[in-house]
Amino acid sequence: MSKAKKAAPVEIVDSVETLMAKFDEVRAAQEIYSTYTQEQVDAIFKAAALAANHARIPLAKMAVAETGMGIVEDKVIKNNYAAEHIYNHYKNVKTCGVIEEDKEFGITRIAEPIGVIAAVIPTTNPTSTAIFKCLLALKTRNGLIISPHPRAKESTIAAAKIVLEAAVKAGAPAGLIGWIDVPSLELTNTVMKESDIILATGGPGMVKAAYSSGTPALGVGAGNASAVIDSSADIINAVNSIIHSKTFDNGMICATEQTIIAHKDVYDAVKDELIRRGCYFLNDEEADKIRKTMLINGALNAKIVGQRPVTIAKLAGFEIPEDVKVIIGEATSTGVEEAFAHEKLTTILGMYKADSFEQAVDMAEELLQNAGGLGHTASLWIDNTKEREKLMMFAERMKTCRILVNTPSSLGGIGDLYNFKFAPSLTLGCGSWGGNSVSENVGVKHLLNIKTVAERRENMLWFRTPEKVYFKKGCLPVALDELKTVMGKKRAFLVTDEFLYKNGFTKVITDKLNEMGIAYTVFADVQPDPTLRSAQLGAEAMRKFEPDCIIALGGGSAMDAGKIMWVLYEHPDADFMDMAMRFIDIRKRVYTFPHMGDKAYFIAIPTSSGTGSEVTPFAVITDQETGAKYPLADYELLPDMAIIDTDLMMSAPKGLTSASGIDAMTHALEAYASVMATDYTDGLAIRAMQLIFKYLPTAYADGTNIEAREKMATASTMAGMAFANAFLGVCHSMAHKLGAYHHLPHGVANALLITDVMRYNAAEKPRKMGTFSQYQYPHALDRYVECAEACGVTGDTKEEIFEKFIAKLEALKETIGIKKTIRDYGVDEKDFLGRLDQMSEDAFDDQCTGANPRYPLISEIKEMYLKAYYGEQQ
Amino acid sequence: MQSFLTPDKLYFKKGCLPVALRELRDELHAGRVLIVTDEGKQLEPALALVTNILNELGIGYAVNRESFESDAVIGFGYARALERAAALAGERYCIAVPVSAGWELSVPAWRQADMVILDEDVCEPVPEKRMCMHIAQTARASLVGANPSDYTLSLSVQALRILFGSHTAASLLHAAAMAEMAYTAAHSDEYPADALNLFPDAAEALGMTAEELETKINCAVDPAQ
Repeated sequence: MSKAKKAAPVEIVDSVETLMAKFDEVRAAQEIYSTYTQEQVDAIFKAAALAANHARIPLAKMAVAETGMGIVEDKVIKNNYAAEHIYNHYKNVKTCGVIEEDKEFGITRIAEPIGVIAAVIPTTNPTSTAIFKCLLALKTRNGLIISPHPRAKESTIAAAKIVLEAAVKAGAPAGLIGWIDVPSLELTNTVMKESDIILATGGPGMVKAAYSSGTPALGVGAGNASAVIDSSADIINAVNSIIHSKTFDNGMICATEQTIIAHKDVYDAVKDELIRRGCYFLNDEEADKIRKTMLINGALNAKIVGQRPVTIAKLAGFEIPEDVKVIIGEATSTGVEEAFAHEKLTTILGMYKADSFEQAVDMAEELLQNAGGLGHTASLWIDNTKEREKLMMFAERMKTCRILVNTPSSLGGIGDLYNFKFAPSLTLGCGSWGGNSVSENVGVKHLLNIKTVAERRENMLWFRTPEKVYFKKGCLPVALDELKTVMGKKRAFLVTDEFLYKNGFTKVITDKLNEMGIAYTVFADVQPDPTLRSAQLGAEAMRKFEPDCIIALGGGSAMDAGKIMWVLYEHPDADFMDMAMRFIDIRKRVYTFPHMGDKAYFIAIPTSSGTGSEVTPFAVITDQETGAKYPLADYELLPDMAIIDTDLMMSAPKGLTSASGIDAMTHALEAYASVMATDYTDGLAIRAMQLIFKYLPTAYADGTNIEAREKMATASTMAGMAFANAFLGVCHSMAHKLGAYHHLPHGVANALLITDVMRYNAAEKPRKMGTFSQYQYPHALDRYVECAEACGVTGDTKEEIFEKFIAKLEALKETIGIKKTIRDYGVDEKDFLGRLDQMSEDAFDDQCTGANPRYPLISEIKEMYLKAYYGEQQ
Repeated sequence: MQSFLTPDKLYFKKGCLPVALRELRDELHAGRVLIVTDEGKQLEPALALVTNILNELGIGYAVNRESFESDAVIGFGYARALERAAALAGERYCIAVPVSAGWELSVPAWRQADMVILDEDVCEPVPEKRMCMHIAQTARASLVGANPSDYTLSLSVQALRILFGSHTAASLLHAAAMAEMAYTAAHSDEYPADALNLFPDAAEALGMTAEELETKINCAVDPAQ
């Protein structure tokens, strides 16, 4: 029934009204066509290409008869090419629906038609370009309305009709392709304005009109290819190819050579060969006549376009033999006023002599700049095996999107004839230089909207630990045994601090090294908050000693200093500013950390239970000049071996035991709440918490308790492994700055902040949550409750459990002598408040902030600092 | 002395295989790679993920050609292939891509590989019951041996926590991997000690008695009980 209601097909398009009616018709057909499958489309595409190919000769004859330009036999090739090469190139290309599926990355690409294409067809290639654009539209499920050139409308419409009829016969909706029967400027402008995309082939005026219409446009500009002939070129090949190219369809393909620029060493040989093969060199008088005929008021004379030399000479007012193939005018100026410098679209060539290859390139560049053709095509004749440098120089200098080497440019530029990876096309993009949006040969991909469906994927995660972790009280000498027996190490460099050295902590190591016959030296100058200066001194000593093994013994400072010395020893030129650059994703950072371990094996041995540095990829170093701290983070910094021997920890004083113990607790808590937490780090973090709750009070009260010391050592290393992979959070960000600004021990600073940070993180409605693909919704509260339950806290609601867990932590802090507030540690109120804003901003910018489950505002950090300073009773 | 020995790198998450293998080019600067895999057709689609990315990276490779000189060896497949890859690797970088995680224990993957890649897209789907059985058995075995410690226990217990809690196929896969990693480290006999039994500690860490844990594990191993 609906068919009966349908408006009658538009017979003749000769007005805006009839054009708009035609649009409705094409749109309705395209809407149906847009639902076709790839199989249906491919069948139609094939049938249409076959029909166009069958009609190649009648269409060629029609075009020449109607336009009076070009050569029938060459137009046959163009029609044949437009049907055959386009079909062959795109027959297996997917253009409908899902065209690509990458299950691993969760990416699906879907091709959709654009709608109705406005096709502006030039008089130079009226049938082949029509065939080409119709076939592209059919392959991409688009509709098409053609605006033919007034002087070529019959043949263009005939070509379109043949394609349409074949397509409809093969199942395409009727009315999918339409055309303007009586072309006018007004209708061309309307078709461009009303369409969804414009495929404009034509002169600069038409292309400009297309780009100005407000509709997305794919246009091409004028060509003006120079053929530079280097002294290394094969002259016979070059000359005959250029003649072949230039005479093809009487020079109407836009990529055709317009000038020859020959090196002076081969100029005469080129000229001789041109003459021998039937080209005609103009004398001065004839040349001026041609110049006057060629350009009229600076514009190309349409009468000479696509004509044979004999016809052009007649027009200019002189006679030449009938069989002249190409007229050649020798010129010297590359300026705009020189007619031979311009695009001619006919059988006239300009010819220049260059003193050197460089000058030839200069001239080719000037011709593009002065006389047009930017973005289109350039051509070079050269020995392309021996003269790669010249070839690349030419390629770099030419502002053209096609640079053809040893190729007839007219047939080379359209692709798939003299080179086999250029897309075959009769619409050649000229890039921004030519005012185009595409810089390659236009094809089906430019006529599709490609939708990309990206399914959420999670970042790759990792679990990395030192390859070897050895532990148990008294294990140190046993673990070091490997240095000799397995690794065959010869020279060890021991990094430690003065206290440990003077108090004989290094003796067990040096005794073992002596026993194994491994030479060693000791660097015992590491200070708390190790400086770059001391690391540089250490590295210098290393360079002198040339160790194949570095042993860092001590607390976080000694192990961090050891890591930095290791970096400086292996990579003396490493830049700390670059290494310490903040990053969002440790695997995507701009700076690539240098590879470590080529010179020395790194062993870390902690003497306190807290930092976890023996198993982490982190190190902090202070610049003694500026006070700036450089936190370095990269898995290259991960020690190769960690040895945890409780013997070294038995004498740790109460303050150190408590501060480093609670530091380990915050490591575990922050790693568990981190957006980067994984099942692997969760297990380690929870076990660390369990052990710390159970054994820290004992280790604090009775430092001689071996079991408590041993369990705390284990807990600290496990918490280190957890945060080495899951990273930390804003508590550590704030503790780093609180320590730096007010000289509180790191563990104490953490202890003062952790419960406030937990409350802050546990909010169900945070202002902002952390950004990480794995982190789906704010769930810090649930995570803390999991920790609480694993640590034996029970309750009826999540909130109750959480509060009881906070209380348990506060109780632990009190048991091990941690005071309540920052103020209690004697930090001056005026000083604290005076520098609070800067400290808050610095904490926000700390590397640890990124993994926090709640993305903090600077003002929120400030609030937490204030809470921690005054306590709850402020 | 005790040890906790794990692969240098473990990479995981759905779709991580091609991302992880980029390290061959970016960090190891490998030019040639030997792929060792199980014979037979069923692994071919998954193996294509490896060969596609190697092609994209411009890295030459051979499959199961032991004479192929290479910078790295990728074991891809079941325990037998991983074992053969580890044996062939020698000084070369060894990557293990198990397809049967959660089904069978690949000790060589955990013990000898420099990099283990666990990609849900590559791992064969294992029926839930079968996987739970595997996790329960492996986790239990990982608590007793020459070398279990709090380190291995933390992984074993986390695997059991996942097993006993609400879980997904993905979380079970990681539970299996953790149990396997714990088992391998707990049975390292490089420095043999007297056999240790951390079963009671694991029960305590899970907030239950040893009997309760035993029952729960038995139940997972044989749901009929």
